[in-house]
Amino acid sequence: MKVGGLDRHLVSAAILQPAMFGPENFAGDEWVESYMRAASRLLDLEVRTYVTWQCPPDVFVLAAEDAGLVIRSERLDGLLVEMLTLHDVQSLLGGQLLEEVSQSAVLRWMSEFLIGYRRPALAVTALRNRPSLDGLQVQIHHAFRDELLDSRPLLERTAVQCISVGHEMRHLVEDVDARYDVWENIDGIPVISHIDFDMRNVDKVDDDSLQRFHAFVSSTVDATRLVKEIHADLFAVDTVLEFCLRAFDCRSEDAVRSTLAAFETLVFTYFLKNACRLVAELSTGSKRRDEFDRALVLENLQWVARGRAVARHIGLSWAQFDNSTPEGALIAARQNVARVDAMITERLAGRLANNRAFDHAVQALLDTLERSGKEQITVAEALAHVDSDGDLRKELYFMLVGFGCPGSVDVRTYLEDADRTVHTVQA
Amino acid sequence: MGLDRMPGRSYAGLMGELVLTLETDAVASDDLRHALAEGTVGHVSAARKSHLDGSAETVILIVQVATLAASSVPTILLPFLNRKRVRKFKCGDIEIENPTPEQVEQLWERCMKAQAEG
Repeated sequence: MKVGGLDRHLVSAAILQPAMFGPENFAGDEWVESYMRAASRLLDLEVRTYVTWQCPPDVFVLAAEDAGLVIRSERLDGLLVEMLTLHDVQSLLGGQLLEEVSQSAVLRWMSEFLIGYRRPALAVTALRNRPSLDGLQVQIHHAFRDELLDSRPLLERTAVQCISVGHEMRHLVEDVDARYDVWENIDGIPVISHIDFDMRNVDKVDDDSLQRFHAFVSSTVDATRLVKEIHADLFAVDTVLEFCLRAFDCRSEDAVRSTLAAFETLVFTYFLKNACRLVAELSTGSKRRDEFDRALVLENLQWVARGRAVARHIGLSWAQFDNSTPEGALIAARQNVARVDAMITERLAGRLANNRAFDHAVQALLDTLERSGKEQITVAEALAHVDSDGDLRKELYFMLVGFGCPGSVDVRTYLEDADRTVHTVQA
Repeated sequence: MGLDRMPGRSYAGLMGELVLTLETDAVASDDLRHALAEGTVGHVSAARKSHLDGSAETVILIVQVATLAASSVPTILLPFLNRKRVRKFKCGDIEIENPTPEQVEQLWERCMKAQAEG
């Protein structure tokens, strides 16, 4: 089916070249389609959905005059599913093996995002920094989308596919003029309490230090954006949880577990993508190193707040699903918030390994950048590595096939084009 | 009928038109939208773009420019280009990221020429 009228211009303008796009027909994803229909009705929103391919993982929304447009790349769902698989693999590993498997996956994803931010030299560097896992039969990445999606149980896979869409759809109805500060209440608790939780409960800092921290947060965090993101997160987890319960007739605990895992996956994906955007901005000189460091700290604070707000909210929602009386729900709420905390703790070792892998990966990329922000490795040098290293070329080739590029795709040409600022638009 | 635009209509379609696509940051989008609508007698459609990575919202502008007013486009865009408010500029089969005034002028010339030649 062809895309006509204004949508064609809007989507074409919004996607990265040389990406292609068309109306999403949800082939093999009928549960995602069903979720989107339900979420659209709930939000009283006309939504048209497009799928893009030949591009890195991404999802975004366009608030057009007559409808909301949701544009998802084919690759995004696959990447989220890979993260779920990594969680499982990590639970079987320890020591150096855990570190190297996590580093390998994180660097591969960063490489994809860096291609998306048109930094092919950094993308090649990230891929070359991966530890060798020769001889280890760990199948986290698949080149083919269907194979990848089928590798996970339906409940988990649906939750992870729907949560990013639900989050983005909620943004379509947000009040663009609304303004918030860090004292805004979410489920009866101010956002700042999620941000300073560790300082109060783990570090047990004194009141003066806490006040100084509050002043720092108030003056640096974009509270309006943070609160709007939390609103979108809460809508996504609520609707995905309820959808899974109704669609799959599963135990509420399983639906909660899958929704929580989906959100956790989303958090790490977003964080990784944001960090790659910051590295890209540093490498082009549009951010200085001190600005980069500060932005990364603020990203961290943002995700801490969002993660805590969502974890608490899921516990409260769970109580309502399982109890028809207010009294029962009130008692269950306390218990369920604690049960959700326990679920989060189950994947702690893997999460910490991912964080260490991220720190390691970012440090290695920063080492390739000069103080001025210029890349030490040029695109020509990166392409020379691609030409001379068959394994690297093969890795990049399967990455591009995973993006939805045709089998005839030429790695060198794709990377060269990613480096240009002037692009020829696909017909 | 005076020179006021008809509600919801553009004169562009009556006189031949060029379609120009811009991506701009949200701060400048209203000013740019008004400047283009007034300066080109064209119709401007806008859509907010929110991204997965939480980066600052941008706005996509689709501008149908009447060919008679087309030559004014680079001049209208100049202050926005100088302030680096335009992230993408697209016309015909070419797209430029973070365009300079010179690049916009060259590409726009090319688009006007292609339009004139039919």
